Amino acid sequence: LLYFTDSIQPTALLAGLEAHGVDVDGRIAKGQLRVAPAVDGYLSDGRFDPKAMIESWVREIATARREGWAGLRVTADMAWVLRSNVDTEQLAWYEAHVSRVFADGFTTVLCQYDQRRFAAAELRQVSAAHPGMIPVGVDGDWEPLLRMARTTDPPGLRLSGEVDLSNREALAAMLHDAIEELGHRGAELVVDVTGLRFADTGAANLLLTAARAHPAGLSLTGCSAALARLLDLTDSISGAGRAGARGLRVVMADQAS
Amino acid sequence: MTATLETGARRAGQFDHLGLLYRDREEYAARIIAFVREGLAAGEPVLVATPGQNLDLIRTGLGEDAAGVRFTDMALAGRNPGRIIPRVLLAFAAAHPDQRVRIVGEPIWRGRSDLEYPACAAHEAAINAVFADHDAAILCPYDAAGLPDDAVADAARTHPLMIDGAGVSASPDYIAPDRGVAMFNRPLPDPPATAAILAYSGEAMLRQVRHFVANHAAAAGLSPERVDDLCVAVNELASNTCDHTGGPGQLSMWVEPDILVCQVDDHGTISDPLIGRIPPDLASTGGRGLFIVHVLCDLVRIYTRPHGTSIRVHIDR
Repeated sequence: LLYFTDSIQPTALLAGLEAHGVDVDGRIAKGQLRVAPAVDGYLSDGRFDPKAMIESWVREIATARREGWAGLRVTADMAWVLRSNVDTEQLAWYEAHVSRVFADGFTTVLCQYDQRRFAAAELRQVSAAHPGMIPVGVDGDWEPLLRMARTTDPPGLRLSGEVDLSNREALAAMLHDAIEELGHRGAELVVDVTGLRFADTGAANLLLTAARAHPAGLSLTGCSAALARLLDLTDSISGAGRAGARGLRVVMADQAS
Repeated sequence: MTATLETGARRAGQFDHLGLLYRDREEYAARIIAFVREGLAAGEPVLVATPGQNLDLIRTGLGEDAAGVRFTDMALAGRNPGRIIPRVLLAFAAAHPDQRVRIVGEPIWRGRSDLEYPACAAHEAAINAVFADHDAAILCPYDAAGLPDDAVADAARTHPLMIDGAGVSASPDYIAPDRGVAMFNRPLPDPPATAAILAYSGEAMLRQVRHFVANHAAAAGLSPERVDDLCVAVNELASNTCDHTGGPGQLSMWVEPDILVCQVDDHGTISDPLIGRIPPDLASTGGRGLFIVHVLCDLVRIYTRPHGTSIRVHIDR
């Protein structure tokens, strides 16, 4: 578990954990817990480099796997952004695209944004870059609105939950990155939507756009009747007269092999 | 009006929007059959979109000529008048590119409710803007004996050319399409006191909006498919509140005989009067969400004003 602090000092956090009965020293000694100031992680060279940061997560995850842990949990107090010159666009881009690295079924990341300190418009933009958002005052039963996992065989994504305006950018970045990685291999992108309970027209449009953008096309597996109808409807608007050229293959939930 | 043909339509190369005031079935059938035959003689593709029983009358009257005509039941295709332009009129024009098309479109009939009527009349006004650059003739029959006086008077406001017993004439009451559409931007009656209400604010509450809609729609007896449709539609309306106003909104739901009603109220203003009525790729600004709401619902009424918009949708039970 990696904890990046900002509003409070690492020592204060450790003391707090200890007060809640966590064997802090033991966990640290085993290499299971690390607490560090967020600026050390995010502003390693004194500035925020989103691409280098994403690469550093790849290394961090590889290390945790190599050491044999069952998973990696990360939480970061993002208040450091307020003192930096990182702009909202840059931050939202990073948050949306870092999902690609985190969607490995191994890593869980909780980004903390203080509602009282961030501007509402900035919070909206950054929040849309996350698959799920935990509102203030929620109890332990919270589940993210959308879960996205990358799959390797077949190469693609598995989506479960719901996609709407609140997490659309997270899906957009995930599809974009998946296509970019597949680009040179000429393989079809397979998106398993068996667990997708709701998609809005914006999400349908993202899937259709991704299918057109990827030369080898996109295959949706486990598609519900509702999603199939929404895709047809959305396609009839944006792709009028181009039926068949949409690059999208739909396998319905009840005919999956 | 030397270029005017016998039925009121003019020469090719321009758009004619004709209002026909008829008083009985014989006059109705005679006028429409003449209009259709004139198109067939000129080699034009012809579509007749009227409510079902009127279709039968025209089909019978045309005899063998009916084979060359496309028929659409407007009571179904135009159940929501807001989707007639994209799904019926523009779809027929798009299927016959580079040809002058001829259409009989009957969007207003006895039995349209008071709540439906302004959406129908706004549709008639919008046709003048959407088809301005099309090579087409659209004839809209009005039952002068059976419709309320207001509807007959409005026909003369939304059609540049009128046909009645005295023949064809330019309508002195015709008003420009933007003003015409604005004229039917009318306040909605208040939701009943018994309506279920959900106040929402921010995208994070959209899941609650959908949950609320699904529960009430299922309780109202909608099929699972229509519950899904309504969730998609209302989610789009509430998303527009979040996306375009940044402020809060309120969703009200209640049941009326044969229909389930949803109304979304927020503090935004809709500036484009044609939004949702024409396919978004032809529209200047977005509008995909509202377009899909029109396709999915059985009626969409919009009342927009400075600092406030109310959108009411009906779905048949």
